[in-house]
Amino acid sequence: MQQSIKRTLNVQVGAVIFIVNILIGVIFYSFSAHISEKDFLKRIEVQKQYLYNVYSQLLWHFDINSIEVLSDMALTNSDLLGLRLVSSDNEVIIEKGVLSPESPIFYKQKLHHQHQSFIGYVELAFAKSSIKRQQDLIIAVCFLMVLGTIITSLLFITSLLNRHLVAPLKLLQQDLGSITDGNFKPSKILGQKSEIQNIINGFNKMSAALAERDRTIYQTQERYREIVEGTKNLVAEVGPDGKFLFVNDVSLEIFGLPSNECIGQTAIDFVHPDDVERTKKTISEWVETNQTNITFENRLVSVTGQVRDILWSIIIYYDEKNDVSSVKSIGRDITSRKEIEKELNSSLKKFEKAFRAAPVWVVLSLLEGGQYLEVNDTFLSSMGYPQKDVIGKTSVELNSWADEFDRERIVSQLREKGRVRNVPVDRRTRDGKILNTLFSAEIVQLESKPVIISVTQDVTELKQIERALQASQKRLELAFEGANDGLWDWSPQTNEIYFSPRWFTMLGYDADEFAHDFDTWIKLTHPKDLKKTMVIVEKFLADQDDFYAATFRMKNKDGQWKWINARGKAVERDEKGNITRMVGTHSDISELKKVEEELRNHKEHLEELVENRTSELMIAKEEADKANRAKSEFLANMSHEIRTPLNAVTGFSELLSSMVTDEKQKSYLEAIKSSGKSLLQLINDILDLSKIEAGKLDIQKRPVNLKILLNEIRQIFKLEVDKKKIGFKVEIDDALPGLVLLDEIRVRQVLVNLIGNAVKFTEQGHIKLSVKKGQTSERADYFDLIIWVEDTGLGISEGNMDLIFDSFKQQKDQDVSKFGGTGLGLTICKRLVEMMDGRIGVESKLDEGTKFIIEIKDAQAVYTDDEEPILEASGISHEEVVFKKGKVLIVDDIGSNKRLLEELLVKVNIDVLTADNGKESITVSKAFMPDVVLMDIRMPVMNGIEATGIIKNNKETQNIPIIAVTASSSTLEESDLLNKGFDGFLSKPIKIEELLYELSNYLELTTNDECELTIDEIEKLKHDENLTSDQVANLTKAIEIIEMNMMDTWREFQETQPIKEVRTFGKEIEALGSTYDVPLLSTYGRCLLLYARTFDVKNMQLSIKEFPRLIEKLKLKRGKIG
Amino acid sequence: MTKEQNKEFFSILIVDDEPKNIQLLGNLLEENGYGIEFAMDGEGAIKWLEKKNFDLILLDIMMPGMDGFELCEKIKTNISLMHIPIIFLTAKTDTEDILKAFEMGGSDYVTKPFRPLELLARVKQQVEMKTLRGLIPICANCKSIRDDKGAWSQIEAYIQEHSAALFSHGMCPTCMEQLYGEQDWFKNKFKASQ
Repeated sequence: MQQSIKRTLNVQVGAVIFIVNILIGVIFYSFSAHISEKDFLKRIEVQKQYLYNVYSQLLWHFDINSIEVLSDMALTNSDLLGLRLVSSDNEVIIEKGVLSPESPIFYKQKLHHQHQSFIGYVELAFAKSSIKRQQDLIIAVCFLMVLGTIITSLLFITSLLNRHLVAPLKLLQQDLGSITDGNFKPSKILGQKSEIQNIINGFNKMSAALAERDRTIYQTQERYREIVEGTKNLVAEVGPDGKFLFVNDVSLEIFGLPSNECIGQTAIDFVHPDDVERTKKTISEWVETNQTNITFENRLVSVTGQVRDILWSIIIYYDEKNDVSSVKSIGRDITSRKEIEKELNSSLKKFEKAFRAAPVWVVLSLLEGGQYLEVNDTFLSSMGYPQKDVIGKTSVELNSWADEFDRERIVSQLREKGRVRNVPVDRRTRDGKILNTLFSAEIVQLESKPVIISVTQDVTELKQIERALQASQKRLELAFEGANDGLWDWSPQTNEIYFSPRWFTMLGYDADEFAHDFDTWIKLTHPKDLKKTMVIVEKFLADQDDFYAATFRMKNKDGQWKWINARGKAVERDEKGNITRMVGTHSDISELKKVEEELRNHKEHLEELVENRTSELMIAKEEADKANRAKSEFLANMSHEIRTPLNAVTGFSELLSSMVTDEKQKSYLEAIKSSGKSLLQLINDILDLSKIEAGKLDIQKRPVNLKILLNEIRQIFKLEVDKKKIGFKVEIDDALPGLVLLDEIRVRQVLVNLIGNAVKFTEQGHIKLSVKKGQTSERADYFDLIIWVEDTGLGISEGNMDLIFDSFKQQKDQDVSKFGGTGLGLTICKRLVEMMDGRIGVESKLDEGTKFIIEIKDAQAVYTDDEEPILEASGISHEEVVFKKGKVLIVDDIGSNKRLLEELLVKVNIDVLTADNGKESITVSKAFMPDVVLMDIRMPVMNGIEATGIIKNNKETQNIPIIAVTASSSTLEESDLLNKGFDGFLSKPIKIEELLYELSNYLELTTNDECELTIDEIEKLKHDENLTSDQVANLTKAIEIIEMNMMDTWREFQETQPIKEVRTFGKEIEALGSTYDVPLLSTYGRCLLLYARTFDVKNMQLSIKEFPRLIEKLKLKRGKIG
Repeated sequence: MTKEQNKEFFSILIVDDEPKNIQLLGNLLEENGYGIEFAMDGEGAIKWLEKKNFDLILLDIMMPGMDGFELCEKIKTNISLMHIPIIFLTAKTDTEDILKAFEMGGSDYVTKPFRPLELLARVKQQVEMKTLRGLIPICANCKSIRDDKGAWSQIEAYIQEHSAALFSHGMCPTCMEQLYGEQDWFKNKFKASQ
């Protein structure tokens, strides 16, 4: 609240006057009071003295009345409060008023008479009331006086002030008001007291100065305003509360606000959200450290969302408490600069990237000293260094030059020319690998220092490729050299041809003797071949074919013609597909041509000859065949016609022979019969032969049991042979199958014929018929059947060997009367054998015997479930194999098969169970738990596979091994069977050793228990009997022989036991034993032999080991008895 | 000469520690006409090999003491024995053993339990293959070959006897020249063309 100067002055002046008056009043009062108090005390003194005097007088006189009256009178004086008069003998004479020693003024005065004798004392108490009253009065007077003075002074002063101070001031105030209003005019107040005048003068001066300054300020302000408003920068002031105090138009524009809305907004609201934190943090940091002048960058966001980059110059003002008073800031919009910067940055980055990732080595290094300043990643990765190991080092320190001189050379070249280009140098990587590189460099000035900037390209791989190329080129050259081929390389468009040196030398020319063009070739090529070859060449050029080949002659240096085989390939074509380059070879094929020619000549000649002859022969053969067929047909018919009546002849003679009893007649009849038979035989033979030749005889194959057949034949000839007392052996190969597909009738016919012959021509010795299995065919079950018919008879002379198979030919000088025969037998045999796809041969020596060999190709073995024999005869002596007791179930629907197996298995100590089909086998398996099942596959009711499945799926029976018995013609494979649950399989016909082998997998085998030779048994034998003296002698002899002859052999057995020698040893011991009647020896020998024979090596070795003990026992025995 | 007759000359050494195997193999092979000897361990086998020439060894791998592989190694490193083919007898599952068997120089293998026919076929194969290998003493000059009995026979006869190979006869140019070089017809026909 502004107080008017007048009032202030009034109060102040009033107060001064008041105080001055008070002071005056107080002084006056003190003075007055002092005077009055002195006055009072004087008065009291007077009174006191008076009273003393009076009382001393009165007391002396002891005038009590007067005393009384005086006292009352005294007491009327307001000052005296009380009095007491005490006599000298302390008798209170009078006491009046209030008397207490506490009274303000108390006196006690001894009273003396004439100042000599003590007559009593008086006590007086005075009150101050009278003085108080006086003082109060003084105060009141003072107060009134002061008050009056004050009022008067005030009034005076006020008017004075009013006149000399307040009025001009008021005017001045008015003037000031006008100044404030900007009206700088001098005050018009005049004629005042000097002070005021001075003030007014001063005021006027000030006003003028102010007016001047105001103008200057205005100008400055205007200037600043123009600057602020005209600048493109943001200008803003922010108060300590963070709110805008001032913003310029640019800022407004950037904020997107009208000016009136901007003031009072919080500045930070316009900062880009991402920068808010940073901005706040930075500012608070500044404030903390009391910074005043800062530049700072952030982004602003306008109301409309536009973002601008701003560079701020900020001045922070602090107050005396170090708090922020205001923040003035000037911001420059650097958005576009930023963008440029950003672009620049990215392009710099690009360059950096390009530098780093350039596929060549880019290296900056100092020219002086050679330290690496900068290298790119390719350099690092190729050289294998991390960056830190490279920067600041020199290439020499890294030992990266394969040749130290390379660097010196390059540097000196650089110094000289300032640049080098593609210098091939070898560099060494960190792990010592040498890289081939191309080095380019230039000297540039970088920070006023000469720096080498180098670009190095790693061409190691390129070099390798180059080397490989060179090698392959070399190889090619060598290949051509080796092949002795000439090489040509032709460009059809330019007609240029490159001919290799060999191209020339193969024709006898010097290399490059002729021009390298097409004409050279034309010149040298044989004129006859030229045209033909040109056609090929042109055709080749026209076609799209890539390969070219032609053969032609070329002229030799010495004028002769050489055959050349040219081959080539189009290697380059233009865009139209025309060949622009072809490359090929020339090979000298003159030799080949020559041979070819000769061959062709020969061949042509030969073919002609053969053809002619063949056609002639064909005609002849056809004619002959035709004639022969006609003849045979006739014969066949004829024979038949003859046979019919002949049958009657023999038939009836047969009938008759039982009727006729007369010996003579009987012999006649016999003659008729035998002649008839002979005739019939003859006719039959002729008939057969005719049929064969006429092609009317068919071979009808059926399964034949060879064994039965041979037995039959043996039976046929048994009588005859016996009669002649010659031997007749029949041998049959075990390898043969039981049944063979043959034409039984024809085979029998051949064999009867051959054996008949043999019997006929053999007088002593033997006849042997053997059948063997020959080579096996590729097809399963097919084999060659070989039959020998041997005799020890007459034999055939060499000259007759060729004749014997011809029709109607008998051995020359053969005694027909003795041997008879038609001479057709062997012919028929030969034909029949041939018809059975076989051949017959003969080996013979006169007087020693004859051997006919028949070979029937591809005889087929037959296995049928119904007919095949289940077991095959085997060479193995199964008697020697014995199983420990076991149960085997045989499952087969055919009784004979079961019986056969049963017989065999019983022999080897096996109990046999049988079942007729699969279903039965399941029941039997469950009931008897056999050790092994032999399961036929094909059976009625339930087949073997199904039954096996069921048995194997039953918990009780699943562990029983089941062996499949299959026909080998069956399509079931072994693996199929094993998959179906079978444990093994045997194919029909079963071979005994295979059966036993298979069974031995499941049943325990023991050797023949006949020979359980143990030392215990020997012990037993020791005591069995008493020996006679003969026996002792024998025993002695036997021991002697053993010790003499056998122990050496036995000793040899310590190391190795040769089977055959062991057998011999055993045999000898056995023989010894029986010769000298030592059963122990013979038993031992027999057993050892058996062990050795059956390869029972365990027992064999045991027995051999026991031998010395055996001898000891024998010796003991002998000794004991002897 | 038929093969059946031939077999008598082929002797086979069976090396197996299991007597039953020897029994089976011995019976089977002897039945088929081979001469058989046996050894029940490596040492025994070596003693045999020192004494007698064998055409084939049937060798069990699993044996106490020296096993089949060791023995095989001994045989294959001995210059006078290395030509003898060895058929290993192995348990069926030991694929590694089979590979090793071949690596060690075995010629073949038979897995146990073996099938008689298969064994025979393999034995036969080895014995027949055997005929043309090992060290063949040959005359440096006339190229005749000395056979087991010490007789020198023509290379042609030797090969024919010891292998299934047959010869087709021709004549090389060198020999032709040597033989007919002086003949006129030869001169005319061949010399001219050369």
